[in-house]
Amino acid sequence: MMKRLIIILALAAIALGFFPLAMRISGDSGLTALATHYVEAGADELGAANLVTSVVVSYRGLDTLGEVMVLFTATTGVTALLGAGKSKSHKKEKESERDGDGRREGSELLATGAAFLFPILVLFGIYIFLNGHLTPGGGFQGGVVLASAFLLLLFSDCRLELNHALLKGAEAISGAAYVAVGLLGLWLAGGFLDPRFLPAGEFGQLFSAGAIPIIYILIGIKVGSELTGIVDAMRRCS
Amino acid sequence: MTHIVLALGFLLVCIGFWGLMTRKEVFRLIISFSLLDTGVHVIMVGIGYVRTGTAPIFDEALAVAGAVGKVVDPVPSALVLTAIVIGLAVTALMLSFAIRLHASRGSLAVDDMKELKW
Amino acid sequence: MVSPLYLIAMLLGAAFLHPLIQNRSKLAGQLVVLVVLGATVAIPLQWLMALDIATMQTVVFQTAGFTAPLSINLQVGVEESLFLVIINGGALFSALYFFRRRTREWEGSVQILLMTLVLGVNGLVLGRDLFNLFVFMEISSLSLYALVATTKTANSYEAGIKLMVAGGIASALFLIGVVFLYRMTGTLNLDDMIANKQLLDNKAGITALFLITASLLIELKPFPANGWGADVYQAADPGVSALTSGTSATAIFFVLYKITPLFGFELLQVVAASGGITFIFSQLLAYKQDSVRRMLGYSSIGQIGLLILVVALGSLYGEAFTTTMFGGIFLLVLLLGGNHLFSKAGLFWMSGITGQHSLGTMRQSKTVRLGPVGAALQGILTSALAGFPPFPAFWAKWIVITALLAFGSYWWASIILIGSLIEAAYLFKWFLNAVKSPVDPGTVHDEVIPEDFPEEPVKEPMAGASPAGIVARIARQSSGGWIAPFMATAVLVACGMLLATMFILRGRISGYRDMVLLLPLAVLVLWTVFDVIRVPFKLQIGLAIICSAGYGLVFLPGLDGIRLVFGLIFIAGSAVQMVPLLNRRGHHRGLAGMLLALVFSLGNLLFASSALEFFFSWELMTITSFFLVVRGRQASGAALRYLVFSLGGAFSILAGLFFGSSPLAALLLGIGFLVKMGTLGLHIWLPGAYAETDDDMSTFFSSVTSKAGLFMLFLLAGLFVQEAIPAGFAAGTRLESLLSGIAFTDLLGWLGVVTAFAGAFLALFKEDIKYTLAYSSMGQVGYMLLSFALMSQLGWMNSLYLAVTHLMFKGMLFVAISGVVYRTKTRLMYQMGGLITRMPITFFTVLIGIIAVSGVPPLTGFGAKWMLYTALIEKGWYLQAALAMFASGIAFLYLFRLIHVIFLGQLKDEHRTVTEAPIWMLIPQVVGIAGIMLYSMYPSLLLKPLEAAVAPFFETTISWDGYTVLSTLGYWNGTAVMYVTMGVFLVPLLWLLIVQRKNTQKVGQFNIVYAAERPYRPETTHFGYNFFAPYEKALGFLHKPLATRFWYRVVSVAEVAGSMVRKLYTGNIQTYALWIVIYTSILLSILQRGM
Repeated sequence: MMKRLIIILALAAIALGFFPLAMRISGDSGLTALATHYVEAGADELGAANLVTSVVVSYRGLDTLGEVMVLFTATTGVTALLGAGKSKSHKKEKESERDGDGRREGSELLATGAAFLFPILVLFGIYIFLNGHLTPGGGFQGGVVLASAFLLLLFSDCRLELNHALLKGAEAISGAAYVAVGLLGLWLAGGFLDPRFLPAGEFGQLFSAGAIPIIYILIGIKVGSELTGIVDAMRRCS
Repeated sequence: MTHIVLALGFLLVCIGFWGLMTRKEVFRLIISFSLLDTGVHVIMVGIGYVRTGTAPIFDEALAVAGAVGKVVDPVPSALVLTAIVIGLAVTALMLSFAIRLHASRGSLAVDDMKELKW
Repeated sequence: MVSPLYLIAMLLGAAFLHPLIQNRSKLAGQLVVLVVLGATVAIPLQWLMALDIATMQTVVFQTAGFTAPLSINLQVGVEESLFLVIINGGALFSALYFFRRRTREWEGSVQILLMTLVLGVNGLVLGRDLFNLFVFMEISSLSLYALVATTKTANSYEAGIKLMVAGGIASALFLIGVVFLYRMTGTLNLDDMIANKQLLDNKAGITALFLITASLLIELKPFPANGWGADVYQAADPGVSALTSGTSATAIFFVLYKITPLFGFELLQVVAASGGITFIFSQLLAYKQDSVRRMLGYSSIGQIGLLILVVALGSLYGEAFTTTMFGGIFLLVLLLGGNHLFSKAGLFWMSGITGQHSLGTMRQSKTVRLGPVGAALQGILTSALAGFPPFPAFWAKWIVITALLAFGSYWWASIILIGSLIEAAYLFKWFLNAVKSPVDPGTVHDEVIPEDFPEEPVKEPMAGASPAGIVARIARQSSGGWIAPFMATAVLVACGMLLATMFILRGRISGYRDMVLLLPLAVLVLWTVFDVIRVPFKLQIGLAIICSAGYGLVFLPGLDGIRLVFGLIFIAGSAVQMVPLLNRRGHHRGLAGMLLALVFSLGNLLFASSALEFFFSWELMTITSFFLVVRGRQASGAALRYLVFSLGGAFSILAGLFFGSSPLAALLLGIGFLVKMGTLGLHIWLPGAYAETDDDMSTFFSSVTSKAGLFMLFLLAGLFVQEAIPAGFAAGTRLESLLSGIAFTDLLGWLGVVTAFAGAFLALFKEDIKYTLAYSSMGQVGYMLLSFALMSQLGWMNSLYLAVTHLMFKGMLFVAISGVVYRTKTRLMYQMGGLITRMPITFFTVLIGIIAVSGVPPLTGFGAKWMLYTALIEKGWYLQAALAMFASGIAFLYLFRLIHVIFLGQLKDEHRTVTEAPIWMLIPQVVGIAGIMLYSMYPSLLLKPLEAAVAPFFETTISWDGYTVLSTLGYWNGTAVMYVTMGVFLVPLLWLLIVQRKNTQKVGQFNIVYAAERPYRPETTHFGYNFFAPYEKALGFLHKPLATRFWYRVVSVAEVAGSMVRKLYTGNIQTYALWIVIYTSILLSILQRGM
């Protein structure tokens, strides 16, 4: 009880501490100078209709590269952690399956639904990262949708074995290609991760905004394969 | 509007803290952590809000010229995107730790995690 | 200049592609990691060459083709480059550690994680965009989280979850802070934000800034919100701990350093307080630890706290720091951070290599014992971490303390010093624990009298003794990993040498004399090379003797007066006393070099021309002598005591150096010097250190190094004439009238006489011959102090006279006794007897020695006593004179026992074949005898130079008539005294030998008819056992170890504090989270209140 009281007091103190922050901000103060520049000149400078994409992929491209790296690190960690018991538990699992009390088979409904939804989800994911510079969406969102397609498959069929070499390869190559695109920007355009070494194209069209779509495609593939890998590792382990 | 969103965000943060300090199972701690993270993301989005602003994506409805004043700040949106992915990565790692802990100790109770102390 | 973007791209690319490479060939995977990490060290080095170091030039690199506030930029400057060199260097060595260990954990994923970690920390150091810093922080944190799990134990998963929860909270705080900062300043760029700092000068701004700061602080594990950190250190692989404590923490600290320009006064104060509290409490906690890794973990947390404290104080008191050296605060941070990174990582690796988990006794069977190389590595790493010269932390500590005291910040200075002392104590405790020999219980501080019937040793279940254990041990031993700590040591040593050259020479090389202060370091390097190429030990010692003689011939002629006297004691005395070491067989690594370095650093006290130079030599003397004491068979307990007291004294001196000539300076300096001399109350290190050292080296400590304190007293005598209580203290009260008029010299005088008394008294009841001599030395130093405190011509002359003659007779006695111990293999007097027939020369030496010590005519001691009493009576110190007289009576008793029990009586059976001491031990004895006889016959040979030495200080009160000294109270003619005494002595001797020859009767050894005691222990029925039992019954209450008890009390207070604080760390993840929230909310409310 005493501890509860202390916790409540501490939380109250923190909340009180946050108070001046919330009071300082209001929706009426307009954009900051930085945001104003992005809004005014962003379209001209990069040629992407989606300003958030311009900021994410280009202006703050290093963040995004870092973010890909974070995900990559987490994937490495997860597979290292869960991979250790992989072979053993997997074998056991197969044995126990034969005994009949293994993992429950996906229901008819799920299996059929998954078979139906899988291509649509994949297509949708690809659409999202291809159009990231035009409409809401982007590499990460697309990648997550892709992974969810595979998640659905894994749910429906517990014996499904994904091609790990392919996953790993896709992950590694897309990552390295992202870095290579960044370096191309450094050599051919204004700086590292500058997408303008490709022509800006026509504003609002699919082939526009320099290398931004390419980057988003790479991110989409990478995120998709990584998240699939994470989900698969967790499935195999449990 | 901004204040409501911010208050909601801070409330979520506090709920997350509360959960971290009172829930007695690792899996719930991870959920609390996700709540905390979500609260932070809400705060970030709320910060970028401009009254009557729309999404900063140019199309037929939103011309490049004169867009200032009509759109919300694109920077926090970009930041929150990154933050969400990072939060996802941390959560994934936490979950796999929890799986491993459960496998080796057979328990996820917080009170059983007392081997290391002092 | 290579763009830093290539650095990042290279790490990213290598990490992404590594799984593919690893699949093809494991070796290629390892090679890629090595090449990439090597490049991360090479590239910053290239930057350093391209940048202008003098102006701390910085170059900014933009990304995405836009300039700063629009896009993210990276900054490469001298600061960033230097930090990256050390951080990436540490990571490279880590990779080597993992490779050589060949553990199963070290597979592909861990290699990748190492690269991602390095990527993260490089981004942290280079980045100038706040949100970008967050991303890089997450990269490095996630890598660490995953690495923690590599041991694959439940504990490591538990620690990992704790770490992630704490890290998650820190990230959340950081994000909230960053977005609000962005909203208020309209930028995420650090430089822009600093330029618009005024926008943050309100409650919300400060709060947002604080959230970022709190996040960084939590990542750096502040007290009390740091329990999970310690858990991680305990549970993770030591290689991972090394990365956590070195690579990652240093980089996050650099971020904190980067954003300090944003901080206002209040925030800096809060940060400083947090750092300081973390430092001191972590040291207390570490002191209480049994687990080696947790101890090192707390030490890391403390060191990072120190860094935070220094940075915050540096920003608060900017000008005090910037005047000291180039780079100002940055240099400090670099020295402290780099020193900590390499030494701590090295120690973590060492703990991994030896497999040592616990400081308890069980460790003997489970761990790889350190061989000579391992011991050397661990010794160097520990010394570096504890801040001994010439390592970087020494210079940093010097600058910090100087600046803080100059600014009047006494509290922080004392916290840093006390914390450092505790840290040195537990670090060296571990060092001793790791290297001590199996026969060493580690608690020997006083003589050990064996039981009659030794208990059956309890057989512990020997886990490591089983065949499997032995195989595992051998496997561990051969699995290597040594290369990593070796490289870390090499870096530290190289940097230390470089810094020593920089600081000591300061660019002025006018002649070879300026180099003299660096000689000890050169000696250490050179003799290490000798050890490596296996130069025979005797040759090494021979060279050392020649070098000391050379040092004396080259440098001493430039001196005069008191310096020359002490120069001769330090150098010539040492050269002679090295001779017995020639007797040793076999190879003794590091002994000769360490000894010569000690002699040279003692000598350098004479040449130090600034406070820094003096302190450098003083500390060098402390650490070299410590490593000599350690070599004793059972010396580890005594060595630890010696180190802690010496270091405490040294810190007291360091503080005292900055108080000008105030009473406080006299007090602090005085304490430091008195510790070295071992006066009563500060003496408890002394008997153990003198006695437990190897027999042939005790003589150095007793007859040479103890005089270093005396020398410094002489040098700074002016300080001690002032009144002990500053004017106006307790004004108007009775206390003032009671205390006024008491000068330091009065106190010193009393202290001297009490020490003389106590030394003699304690020596009386010792069975162990070396302890007897050790206490005897203590008593003799007391006389020197008393004479010094007289502050008169005769007093000073006597003090110097005693110093010189004590060198001779105590050196002689110790060498003679070491010969006896060498031959009889025991140090207990009651196990000897009748050795006069077997070792006549040694007997003669001891005879001369004890006559000289005791102050009976005709030898030198008589002159000393004559001068002492004359001077005391002239000064009017009658009470002291009486006590001194009494003390010399007691001294005579133990001296009598010494010669009687060892050499007279009956020879023991087992000693029938004992022969005279080896020739190398006889040489110094003969030299000593010659000196004593010469100065006894012709005291003026010594007294006249001494008179000249003290002439500048006092008016003369004595005069000369030929060889006769005349004082106001009488005269002393050494030659006449000699003739008279010889006559008095010879007549009864001849009478005994010739007339009474027939009446002598031999008494059997076990004939105890006259003893009037029941012999309850058969082994100890020797008449020499408990020789002075009657006196002990009468006066024994006086030698209860009051001082020892006092110091034990001090230690237990620290321990209790440590255990109470430990209770905070319940191991419960939710308590940890609570502490983080409480920590944040308290600091936040302090801060907001301050607005």
